[in-house]
Amino acid sequence: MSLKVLCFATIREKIGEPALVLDPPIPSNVLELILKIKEKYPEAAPHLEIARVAVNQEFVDISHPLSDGDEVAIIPPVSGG
Amino acid sequence: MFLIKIVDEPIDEISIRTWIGTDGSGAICIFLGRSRDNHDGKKVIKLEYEGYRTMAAQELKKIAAHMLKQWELERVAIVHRLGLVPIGESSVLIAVSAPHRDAAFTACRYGIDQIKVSVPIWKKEFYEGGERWIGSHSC
Repeated sequence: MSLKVLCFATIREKIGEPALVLDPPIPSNVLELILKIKEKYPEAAPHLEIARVAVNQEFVDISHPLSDGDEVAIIPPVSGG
Repeated sequence: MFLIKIVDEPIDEISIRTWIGTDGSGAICIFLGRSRDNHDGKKVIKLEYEGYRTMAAQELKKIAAHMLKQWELERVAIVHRLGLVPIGESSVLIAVSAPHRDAAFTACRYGIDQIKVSVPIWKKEFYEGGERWIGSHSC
């Protein structure tokens, strides 16, 4: 099973894709996920430091567990309005 | 009652104004956020908005529901435009109707402030020879 991670704005541009598909094993929580993405895309690391994460469209903290089928999104600082 | 929209075309300000105006509304407060032609002394030639649409709609609903619970209001409408928003056009509209003006002003102010905290939408400014995402200056 794999995990799809949606990327927006600065993160999307640094990674070069609107969505990442991470191969198994699925990270057990959000912190592990962020570390895995930083390792794969070091150029995105400073942006990941200041980003929040949403799972199934709700903001979560770094200890939030991840499960197969979750909709995960990296949310850089928002600037709507 | 509230109305939430995320649109790709110019915001229809007139139809929202009509919808918001119930017979019990003694006050209507409408905030429009617009594309401005300058930022920090630099000339802005265009603005583009990107959004995580489904979650942005959820977060806007939470804001509107909170406004209706917190203040004595009739109706709340929040519309955000995505994509290219030319200079002088509106990117966001918050409309609030209420029996009295204090609640309308306060709730409207809360709505726009909260959008800038919790709604996953991002603005990119384009200048002559450059561009930048707003909100991520430190990177």
